[in-house]
Amino acid sequence: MSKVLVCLDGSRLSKAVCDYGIFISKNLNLPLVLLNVVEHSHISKRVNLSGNIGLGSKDDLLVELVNEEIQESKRLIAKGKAVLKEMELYMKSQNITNFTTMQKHGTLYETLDELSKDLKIAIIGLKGENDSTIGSHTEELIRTLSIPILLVNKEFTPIKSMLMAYDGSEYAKKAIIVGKQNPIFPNITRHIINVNRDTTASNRLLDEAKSLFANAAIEVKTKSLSGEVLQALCTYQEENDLDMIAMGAYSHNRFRSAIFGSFTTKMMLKSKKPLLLFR
Amino acid sequence: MIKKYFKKDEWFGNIRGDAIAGIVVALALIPEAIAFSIIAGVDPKVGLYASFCIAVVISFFGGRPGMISAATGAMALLMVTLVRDYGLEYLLATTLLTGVLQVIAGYLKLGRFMSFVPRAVVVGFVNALAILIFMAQLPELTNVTWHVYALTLAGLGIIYLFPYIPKIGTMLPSPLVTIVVLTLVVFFMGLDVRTIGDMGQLPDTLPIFLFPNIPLNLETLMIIFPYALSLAVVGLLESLMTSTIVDDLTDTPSDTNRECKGQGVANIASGLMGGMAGCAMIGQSIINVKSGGRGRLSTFLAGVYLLLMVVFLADILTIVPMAALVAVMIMVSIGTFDWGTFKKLKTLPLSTSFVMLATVIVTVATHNLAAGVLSGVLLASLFFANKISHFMYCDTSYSEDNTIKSYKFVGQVFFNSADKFYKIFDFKEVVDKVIIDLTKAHFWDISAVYALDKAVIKLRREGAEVVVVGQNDASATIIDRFGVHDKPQEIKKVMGGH
Repeated sequence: MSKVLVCLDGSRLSKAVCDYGIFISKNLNLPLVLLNVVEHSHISKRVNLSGNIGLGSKDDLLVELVNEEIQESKRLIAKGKAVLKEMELYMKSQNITNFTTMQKHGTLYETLDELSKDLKIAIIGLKGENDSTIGSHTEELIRTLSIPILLVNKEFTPIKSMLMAYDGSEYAKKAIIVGKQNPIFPNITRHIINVNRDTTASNRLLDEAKSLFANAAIEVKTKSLSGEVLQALCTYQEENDLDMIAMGAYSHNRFRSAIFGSFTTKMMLKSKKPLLLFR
Repeated sequence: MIKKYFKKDEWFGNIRGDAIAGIVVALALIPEAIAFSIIAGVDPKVGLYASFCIAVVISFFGGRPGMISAATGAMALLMVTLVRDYGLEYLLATTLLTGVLQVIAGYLKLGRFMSFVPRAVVVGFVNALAILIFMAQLPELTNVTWHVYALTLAGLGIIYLFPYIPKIGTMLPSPLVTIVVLTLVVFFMGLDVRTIGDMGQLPDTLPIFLFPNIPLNLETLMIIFPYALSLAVVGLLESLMTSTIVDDLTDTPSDTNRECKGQGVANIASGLMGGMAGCAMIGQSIINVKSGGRGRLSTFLAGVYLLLMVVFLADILTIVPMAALVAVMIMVSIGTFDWGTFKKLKTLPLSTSFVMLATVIVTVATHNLAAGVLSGVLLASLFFANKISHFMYCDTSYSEDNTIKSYKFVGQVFFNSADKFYKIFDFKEVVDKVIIDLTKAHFWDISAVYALDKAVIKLRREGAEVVVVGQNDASATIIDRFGVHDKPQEIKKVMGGH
């Protein structure tokens, strides 16, 4: 739990991801790790439906597939190296020295799973390279990893305040308790928001949340909102110019999400500010 | 649970490739399933239902996406006597029990014992399997008219030459072309050759659930258990071997214990749906990867396509000549053969080649791959023990006045090197004191300890003072546990022969 991981894929957000990494590592005085993952697809583009096998077919096929992947891998590695180099120089220009770089084969998920023991937080650019929708792997990633993940979706601005979506669930409570004991963002104002038509119930939940923060030197504001949850949260964020939205992610199982659509996914699409997700 | 068992990527990461590969695989699965049913001595529908059930179930529960499992030759060969002596219902019950045993093996994580099977035995297994599949085709090629030979040769010609035709060559599966062409030839020329229809009943409905109709008693268990055990072992062996082949080809890892459980669940399903036991198929898995299949979807679709084609095309299937099937099976046999290693035979150590050949010979002689693998593993272990025993030698030295002799042993002392160890001592030499230095030696078993005891006692009898020094910890424990040289009452037993 002692490192801040920055995932770089060479997209236009790479620098912003780095900046958020620098911000958090400075705040917490933790080392940064710049990671580039070389994700092979291992899916052949060649079409051969002849469906026959002969002597040595297995070996021939292996050679063919290897040859096909050599080029692809080399290209991805070179690209990753270039991004890492660029960000390394950027780090140096910002007088940051407490960082290491790392390049790994495999999927982002595998790599993060492997590294997660040592991580305080992982920072990922939300909009994958050349892609305006949510990366297909992002959901899988967030669902499975237990470390907080900061999804960056815009250029860097310092984080001074955050919106915490709170629904009173055990999950959300736990997130607050963990966040209080071991804050990733100390010294920023937290706006705890509950969206509910029943104002009394809502206020009771918020008081409860606020009490969780008692005797911590953290500034907490609470607000009960009504209306459509997603819209209400986003509007409040814009009106108060909050710098980040924190929420528990994917608390429902994936079948429910598949049918009704996941709130977290919708939030990722709609939010204009980085999302801090707890699982 | 759901998270673990349903990974979106494994299913929908390669939809187009998997959907197409599924068709190619299904087309090759049909002749194989029929051929293996014939080997086992049951109606083709038993193999076809099995292939459907196993492929569909393993696509959900297996640990190796992209691998094809269905009714296989290795398993069919083990069932021959069971079917002949007791009939189909016992086969279904055996299939069920095989599945249960495999699930247990999966929970006990027995997949890890695959590491005891050396490469040479794997190659031997694969080559023996190829030979057995080929030999199983011979009955179709004996006592037949020249037409059958001509058709089979023409079939093989189409299989291997058709892909060289530009464009369509790689767009149409050549085994399918073979089957279609040979069927048309036989049909329009009115040749009197054996067809699939002559071999027994084909499926006319979707498979239905039914519990095998057998007496549930100890006697039944005594009949089916030995069969189920060898089926379970061979099924897991072939599946795990195939999974390493697919691992290599696709450069992705597999989950062996999940695969063991998956094979078990698939066989349980097959047994309950009127199918025979099966496992992963080397040839089919290679075809799948070659056709672009990578995910679970291709295995699933192969099973579904297979059933749909068989149920709806049953009438056409009955007129397919056996020669076409034989040609496809010869292709599978040739493709299964591990040609790369076979070519390297000359450059490999003699012991490795010997282990491989022994595996092949025992398997072909017994028609039981489990027996072949067992003998291969035993032989390989003996060879290994023999090689390791060469790693033992001794440096001797004397004190200045020649009254103290030191034996400094280096290497592994165990059953095979214990004799050599004992013979190193010079009992005829007269010295006051003998120092046996074992700092760099390791004592592995009771034979080694026995040899040390014998030497120490004999040296003492010759009047020398003996000191044993420098056993490392592991050696010390084994010497402590079994050693007698410090326990006078035991000495007599050891020296009994003197």
